[in-house]
Amino acid sequence: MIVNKYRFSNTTNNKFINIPIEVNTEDLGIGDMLSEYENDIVEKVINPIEDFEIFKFSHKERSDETSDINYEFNFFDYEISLENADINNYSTRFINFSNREVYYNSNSFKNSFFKLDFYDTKEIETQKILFTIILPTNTGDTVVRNITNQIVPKNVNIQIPSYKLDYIGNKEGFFIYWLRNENYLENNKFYMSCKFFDAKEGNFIRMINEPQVNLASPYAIDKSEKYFYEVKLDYTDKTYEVYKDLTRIGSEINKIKFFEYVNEQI
Amino acid sequence: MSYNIRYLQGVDKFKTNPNQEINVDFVLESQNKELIEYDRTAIVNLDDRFNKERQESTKFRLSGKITNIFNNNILGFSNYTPFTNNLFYDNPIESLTQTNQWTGFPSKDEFVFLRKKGIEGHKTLKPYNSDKYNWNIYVTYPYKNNYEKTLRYTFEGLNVSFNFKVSDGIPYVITDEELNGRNIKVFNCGYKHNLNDNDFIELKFNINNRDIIQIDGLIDDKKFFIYDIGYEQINLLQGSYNTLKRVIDIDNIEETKSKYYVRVHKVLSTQEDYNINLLGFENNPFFNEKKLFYDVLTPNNKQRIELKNDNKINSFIIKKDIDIENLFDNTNRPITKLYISFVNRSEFGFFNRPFNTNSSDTSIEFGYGFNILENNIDEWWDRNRIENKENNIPFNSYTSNGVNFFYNEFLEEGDELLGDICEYNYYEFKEEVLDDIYHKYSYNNSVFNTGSSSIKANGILYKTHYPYTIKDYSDYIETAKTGEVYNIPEYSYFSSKDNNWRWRDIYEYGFIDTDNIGVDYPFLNGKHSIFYDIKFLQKPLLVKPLPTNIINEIIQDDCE
Repeated sequence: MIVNKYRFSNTTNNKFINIPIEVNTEDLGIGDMLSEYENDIVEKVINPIEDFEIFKFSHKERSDETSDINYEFNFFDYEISLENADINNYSTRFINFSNREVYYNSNSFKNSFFKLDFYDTKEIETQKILFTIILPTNTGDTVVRNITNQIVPKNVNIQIPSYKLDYIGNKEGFFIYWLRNENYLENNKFYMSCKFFDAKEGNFIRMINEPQVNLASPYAIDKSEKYFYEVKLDYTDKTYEVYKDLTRIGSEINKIKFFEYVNEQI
Repeated sequence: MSYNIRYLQGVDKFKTNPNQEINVDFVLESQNKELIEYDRTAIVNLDDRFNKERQESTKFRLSGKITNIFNNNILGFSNYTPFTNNLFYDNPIESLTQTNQWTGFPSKDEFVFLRKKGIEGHKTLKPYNSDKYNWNIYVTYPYKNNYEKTLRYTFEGLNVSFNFKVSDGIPYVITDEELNGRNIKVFNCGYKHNLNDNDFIELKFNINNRDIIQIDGLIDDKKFFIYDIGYEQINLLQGSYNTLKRVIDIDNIEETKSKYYVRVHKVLSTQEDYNINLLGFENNPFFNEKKLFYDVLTPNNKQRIELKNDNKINSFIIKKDIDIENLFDNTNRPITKLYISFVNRSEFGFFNRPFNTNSSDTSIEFGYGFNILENNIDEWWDRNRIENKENNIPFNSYTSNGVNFFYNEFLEEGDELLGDICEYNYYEFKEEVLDDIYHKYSYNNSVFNTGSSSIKANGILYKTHYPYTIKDYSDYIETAKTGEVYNIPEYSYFSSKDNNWRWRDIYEYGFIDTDNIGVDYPFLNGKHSIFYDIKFLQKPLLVKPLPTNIINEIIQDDCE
């Protein structure tokens, strides 16, 4: 308590005195909040509920009301060196397999596959793989090819490394299954790269998003740019879109194209 | 902790053992600690935490399986070329050589949940909409009652029909019968009467100056009787009809008399909130009827394979989490059931032409189990009738090749759908479903002629609502005087006669009583996950009854 002595001189002017009235009480029932506080602390100490359930995302329909997603994989024809090659030396057929092997679904062909890896970032050094989609070789589109050396050709449908996926028909690899909770991924964006597993050779072949023949320095590529396509999730309608350089791709005309990466011959 | 340790001299152990000096260290150990003032200790237990989170969660993830069973057996023909080219022909040789009219059945694609192809020359299919073209499913819950619906009951046995208001109670027709040598008056009710042996009924007229009488016995869930002691009243003669209400206690009529109504459902989701997929390894037990039509046996000379029926099974998932917090049902109690509600859409145009295209009347008609007769088509289904329209479902149309086609529009959140006929008894604190609602979608006779008149169009019935029990009420009724019991539920009912509160407990998630009442669903990610196996039956309502020999009688002979 402050006790001061005030002295007022007798003048003709009016004086005003402010008297502070201090209240030092607390609300009743403050102790009741303690149990709530305790609950609050317990909630923080234990693991909170987090939703790790996944959900199916489908390819977003375009303005022309189509929803298919188209992949095309191009293999390099090693009969010519990369330095002397042009875009025509890439082929949308399984170069390492004969037409007969493809048609008769040989074990080496059947066990080969395209592996689409989805990463959280395109920085090679720090990225984490989040999930993978496998495209089997024997579910691709087909073309008519001759599978015999005889004079009389035997024309049959064989698979090529080109895929048209949709809600109905060929659906393998069409849907992306990812977490319902949209807070786990920055900007809801994946970076998709591709490798081809060649079961005949037993090795993985790296695929990139542009043919090396188009590059000024074909063996010194910027991996973060050439390995990946951007895949954006839309949580409002549970769909995804694939982009390259801010342009949406994946339509029948503008396919998602991967090209075999050719190592430098030393 | 204390130990009994005994030290022996060496010689006491073995004779040759020398005596030695032994030092013993005593450890003074305390297993208690002082209480620190104001410290609080909370014991966190996994089971308790799980149960706490489970009981507090109000969110549900619904999924299920739809076994779609239909028999595509209504024959017709079309003057619209794309439809004609797409039929499953009944007798193509006869059509080609004699009649020159291609009769057949619509493709199975008109009835399935996941449509896989369009109709060439008529409408193309957008694959991303393949689960929306024929059927739409919604999550709904009953949120209010309609006491004003006018319905119609036909008793086939005496060919008696009459209209009644649902709030008037249970419709019945009286027949005179005999039981153990005694004459009885049998009340043939339109739907389940829900009466117990000693219950009373309130009639709309007096017998011996009383309008409430006790029943004398039950025959089945739709029939009961009173002994005929020589009633001469016109109201009790054979063939007389009216409505009645159930009364439990004649001394407490006001509180124990049941109320009757049609439930009204509110829609909680949209067509964007579900996904339907095909199950890879499960079919229903019926056959896929498939035929190859050679090019010369088709009107457009194109060879094709067509399916008439389909035995595929679908799964569905509701993408949206359904939160039931603050939702109360039609009895003003916390909701204990959610429903998956089906609405036929048929965007490809074989069905759903409204009878009066200039009015707002939709094409979907509703009726109840008692409107499906054994030998006839109930007058209730007359397309002129205003009362049988489910006008909560808006329709739309489009033109293709100069012809108008109709389909039903999507519903929005908050829209309504009519539901089942129910009885509610405040004293019992219980709602009973007396009859299920069915929707009927009819063939559009202007593009697919089935030979029926436009007044009584051939069509197909399906049950509209399928329940998910999310919580259960106890089988017993709790009672308490005011102030006697702490925490009487807000939804309890105060009986003025008994001067106490009455209610049924809502069981906790995971508790199932000895009568198997209660629910125990997986609880994961903070949501209750419920799976429901729906048997979705599409049943034709035919003007021309099906031949009786569809299923051959089992022949019993010496072979067995």
